[in-house]
Amino acid sequence: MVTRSFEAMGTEVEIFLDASEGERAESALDRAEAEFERLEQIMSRFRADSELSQLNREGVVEAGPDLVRVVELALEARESSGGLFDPTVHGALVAAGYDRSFAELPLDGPAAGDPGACGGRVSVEGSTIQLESSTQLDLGGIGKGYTVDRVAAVLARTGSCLVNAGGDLAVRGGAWPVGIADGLTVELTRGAIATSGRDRRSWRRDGEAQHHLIDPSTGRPARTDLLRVTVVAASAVEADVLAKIAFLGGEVDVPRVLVTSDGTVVLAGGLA
Amino acid sequence: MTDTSHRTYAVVLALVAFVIFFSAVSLKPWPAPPADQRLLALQAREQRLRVDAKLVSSIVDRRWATYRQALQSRRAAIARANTRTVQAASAPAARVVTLPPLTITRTS
Repeated sequence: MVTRSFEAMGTEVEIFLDASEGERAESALDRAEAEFERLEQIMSRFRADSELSQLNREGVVEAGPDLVRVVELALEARESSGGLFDPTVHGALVAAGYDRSFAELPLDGPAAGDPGACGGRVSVEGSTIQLESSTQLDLGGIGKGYTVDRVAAVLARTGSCLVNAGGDLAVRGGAWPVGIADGLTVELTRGAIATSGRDRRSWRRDGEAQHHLIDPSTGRPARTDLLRVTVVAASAVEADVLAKIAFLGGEVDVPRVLVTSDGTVVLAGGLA
Repeated sequence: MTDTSHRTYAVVLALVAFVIFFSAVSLKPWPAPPADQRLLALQAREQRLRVDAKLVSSIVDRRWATYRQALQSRRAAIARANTRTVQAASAPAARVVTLPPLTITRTS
């Protein structure tokens, strides 16, 4: 087993690859790390020269296939969730204070601004992505899920693997024990897991608690008794989307673990 | 003068005789020649074959419709089985265990 840890996409990435130590395994891990960097350079809203930043700045961009695909996946998720999942929450996140990478974010500051409306029109035609005026995209979670899926597929050519990007994780082959909550471990042999919650990436504005999971209907951080939701799904993209939907109170039919504010752990969706 | 009258009478008589003869012939035409028995047999056979062909065609149509319906059901069953196989192959597989975790998932 070879492993590698590094920082990417504002979180810690861990990779476990079931292969003998050697040049082949190291080369595979290098490719995986390079893929994280490549996709972050495309989808980060905190890098001014990323394709996503260009899109948010100019309202239209001739994008590469990765950004096109992730935007398409996000729009499909918005459609299928009836708007519970929405990539157009960028303005609301900035209004809530999340206007720079979390590492640079002051934990308290002046009152949150007006979030504005979510749900702006986004069109994808060929490689052209166009945004309605005053609409901007945040692809943080789904972009990370997409990257995890891509990297897992790349590594699977070398051996069984687990790719974990700060909670969005996917496996290919093998059986991998993954800790979900205190004392609760799930063995994942196929698919992916993602966790969404307000127990991390939270801050205060004018003393009021803020977090990064925006309710598109209000444009403000979701108010819920749930602390976090962990979802098991076929892919990290799907798991990330479903975890957010479940956290916002939507119906999902997948194995999941819900942790409430008082620490109660509920297993649902056939997880046992 | 007398010759002329005689000739006229003769022509009129000839015309009357021709009309009477023609009427008699028209009233009782010659009987049709007896039909060729081989031709009749062929015609009857053709009729029978036409009826048989129609019957066979309807039977074939019925069987073809049944076959197409069965084929459609079979294809749908195969598609369902394939979908189940694909879903089973790609469906996430997770179970709670008591092993120590290799890694943890947390709010991303």
